[in-house]
Amino acid sequence: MSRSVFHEALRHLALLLILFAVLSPLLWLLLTAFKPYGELFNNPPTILPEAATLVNFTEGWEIGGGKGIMDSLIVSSISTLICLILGFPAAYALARRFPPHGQLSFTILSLRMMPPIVPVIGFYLLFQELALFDTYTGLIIVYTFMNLPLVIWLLAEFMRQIPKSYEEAARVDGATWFQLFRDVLLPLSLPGVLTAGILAMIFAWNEFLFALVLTGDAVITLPKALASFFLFQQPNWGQLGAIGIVAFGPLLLLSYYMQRLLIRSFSIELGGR
Amino acid sequence: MASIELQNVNKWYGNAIHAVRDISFKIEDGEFFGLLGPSGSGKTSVLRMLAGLESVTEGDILFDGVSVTDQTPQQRNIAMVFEQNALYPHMTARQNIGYPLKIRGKSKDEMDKMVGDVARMLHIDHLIDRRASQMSGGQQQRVAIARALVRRPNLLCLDEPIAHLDTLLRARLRGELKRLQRSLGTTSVIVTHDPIEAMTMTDRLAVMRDGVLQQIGSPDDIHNRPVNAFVSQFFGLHSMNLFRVDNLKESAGAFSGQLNGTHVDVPRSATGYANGLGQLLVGCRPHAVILVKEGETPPPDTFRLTGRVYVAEPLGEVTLVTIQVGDLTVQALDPRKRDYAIDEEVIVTVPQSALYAFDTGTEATIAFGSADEPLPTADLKAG
Amino acid sequence: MTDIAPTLTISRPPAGERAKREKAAERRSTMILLAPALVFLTLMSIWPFAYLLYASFTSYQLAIPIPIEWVGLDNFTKLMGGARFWSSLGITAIFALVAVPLQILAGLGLAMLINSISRGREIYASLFLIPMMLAPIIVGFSWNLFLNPIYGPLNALLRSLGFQPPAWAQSPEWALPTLVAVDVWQWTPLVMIILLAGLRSIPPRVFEAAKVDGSNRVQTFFNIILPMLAPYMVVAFVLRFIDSFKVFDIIYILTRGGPGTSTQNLAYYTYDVGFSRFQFGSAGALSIIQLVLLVVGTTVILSAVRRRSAAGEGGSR
Repeated sequence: MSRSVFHEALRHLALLLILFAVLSPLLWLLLTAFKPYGELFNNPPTILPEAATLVNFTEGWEIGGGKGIMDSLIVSSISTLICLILGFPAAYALARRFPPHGQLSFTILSLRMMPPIVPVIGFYLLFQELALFDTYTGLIIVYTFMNLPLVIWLLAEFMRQIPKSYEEAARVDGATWFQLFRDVLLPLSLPGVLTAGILAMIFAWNEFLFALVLTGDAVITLPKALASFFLFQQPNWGQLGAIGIVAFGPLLLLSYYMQRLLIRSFSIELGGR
Repeated sequence: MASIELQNVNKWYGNAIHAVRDISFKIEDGEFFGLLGPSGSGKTSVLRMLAGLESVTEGDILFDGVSVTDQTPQQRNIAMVFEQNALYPHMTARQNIGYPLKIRGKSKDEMDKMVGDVARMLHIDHLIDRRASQMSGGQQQRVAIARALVRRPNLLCLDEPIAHLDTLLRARLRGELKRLQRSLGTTSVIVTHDPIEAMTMTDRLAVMRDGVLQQIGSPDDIHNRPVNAFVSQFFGLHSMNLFRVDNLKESAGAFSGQLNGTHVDVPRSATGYANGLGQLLVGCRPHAVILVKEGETPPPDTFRLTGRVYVAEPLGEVTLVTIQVGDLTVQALDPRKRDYAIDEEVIVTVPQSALYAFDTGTEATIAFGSADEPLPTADLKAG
Repeated sequence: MTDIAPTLTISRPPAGERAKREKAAERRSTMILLAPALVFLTLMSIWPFAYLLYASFTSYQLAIPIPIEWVGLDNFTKLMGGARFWSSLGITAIFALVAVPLQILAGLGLAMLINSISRGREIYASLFLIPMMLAPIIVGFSWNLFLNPIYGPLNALLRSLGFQPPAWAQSPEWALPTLVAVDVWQWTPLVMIILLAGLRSIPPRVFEAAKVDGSNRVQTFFNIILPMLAPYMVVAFVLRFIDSFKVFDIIYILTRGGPGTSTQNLAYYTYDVGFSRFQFGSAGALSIIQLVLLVVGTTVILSAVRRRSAAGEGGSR
């Protein structure tokens, strides 16, 4: 074995060990999802489930996981859609009519930087007034507000990379504004739209504080459903794990796509200067 | 198809940049017209104003005598081929070519027929279902030209359409575009920074510099009768050599002056004008230079300078020799296959008849090479 | 008309009707495109903020039916006078100034290690990204279970190795370090990915040139890699600094701000005042204080970064 191959192998070994250590809390939750209730509180704990069961998945769905998934789907998908509909034309204007890294971009993005705890009290009082407390509409509004700045900014960055000649060709060909958006800009910025949409969806799906404060018993998104299990002294970790896997596991499939996206956008943002 | 007229057209970008300055000219119906100039000369702005992609700050643009200044590209019915990124990447060649027809609500059958016709004309029928990413640069530009021609525009705008292709392909497409334009008779304007393209393809062309129109004329006119030193240097395969001659004086019917401290003879034709000024810009094209090696006799009636060979580059049929004369660099094309050593001393000679003369201040042409006397001012005007 | 460069007839910018019309049309279409998003964002910033501002200057309490009174700056002065405010400010500062540098160190190490292998970089990067992709709530639960003093696997392992492990999130001394560790665990991936982008931007010929010049590994790291990564580290720091004010979910799940109030940061304190005790006046004031802190902090950092990079650019030329 040559020296460099040996070094490469050592590095892989180190990475795998670190990876195992880093992911072990998650792996543990994964294993727990298959353990029956009686096995959860063993001391010392069993590593692999002794009597593996899927009962946590069915029960988890019934006691709130199902509603959680439905509510989260409604709120995050509708807010994402609104973000894209409002954000697309705004991003176009920002990309074509304003300088990059200008005041407007900065102001819009700075809204994104605000910790949710700052506006949440204002939203709470406002929603009490407008009867939007504990409604889908209310939460959709808040998630749109939370994600729209990022969507606009991302789409604008993406559109700046699209050469203007496509738009000019469309104008010369005689396209109307609507045709320009539908036939040229939208297909060309589709990867950007997908990226922004996925990010907005993930953020809304994972959001906890707004859901905790701004909803009651009518709207129960996943994070809130999970948190409510936890009010018991000895939560049923198996059900928690089961819901966690079903509800958040699929997001991990996007991890590969995310790292590519993040590496590329940070290289462009900082490397271009 | 239409005749195009620009009347005192100005373009400002913001309050600081005056990109196009008071330009007026007319393009005849069916003409292939060129806009030539270095980058930043305003030629692209002129084209984009013709196309309607850029607003006209002041002045008017007329198509067949009717003002279109406030019309959109669509209303003007122009077509355009862009330098690059011309095709919609998410559409096939067929969809690209058909897009302007689709927007205009043409039926599927009509579209298919028109697209098929123009694709055959441009020899791209076999590529018709490919996307831009599956085609070479040359094929993409052909499809872009097809898209421009499919709806018989009033004016075809070509913005450096072949500048990004490799040399061989460029030469081929040059010929094809010219044939196509002649056979269709579509009024066409091409923007280019390449004098060869302008010379080979167009009927007439306009040379621009810093937003100002320098000269309009046929390629031959502009090549042989440049109105000023800039045009003479910019236009042509090899740049014109320019020398500044001081202390002009007459003795015994011959005129001479000082160049870098060396005595030189200058063309008789120019001296009448230049005498009063005492100085003159003298120019000659590299092919007019005759190099005299040591031991050879310089031809009579020539402008002479002594210099050293900087480098000699064989170009096949001719040799491009660069000669250092003091601070000056002179280029010569030598058709004889002679060897030059670096730092070899040679005499640069130019026949009197081939010398151009320019005013040192305005750089305006005073005398043309090959024509032994200054042209009357009227001839400087272009059609 | 003559072909020779004419003396310029126009040397002033025009103020013609056409130019004005063009400008107006462009401004109109820009407004039409921007309006829906901007109106929404402005409305949703100002409207709740008005309520927040109003609450912070009154004795607004939801639970107690007393009339709402204008109290001026009372809420602010009372908060500033209380020990809980300062301790929660301190905890927020710990997340910003201890957790974030730790994330940068850990992220740098991981990024360097991943960058040093020749195969499977993207796969490792994807797997290491998982903690940050997950909902903070799941992160909280996983750790809560993992660190459970009785039936959690970590303490079982430590006990079997002969240690006397603490109760982590439930112990007064270990609760805060545990939260910091979980925050580091969750957000190191972001720093890692930013620095990977930075490492990827260094052209390989730089390393080759360094090798040819006879630079050893340590020298290469300090003289080449670190300076080239500097802008990426600054971005990572600024992003994480801003986000450190947002830490809430893991506190809610792991410690509920306890034991006592020992792990309440400003965000949790605000939540506690507002939604456990329904004192919206005080909670509103707390929100505004945080906003001011964040704006001031970010401005200071950004201007420092700008000054430094401006000086750096000036010096290198």
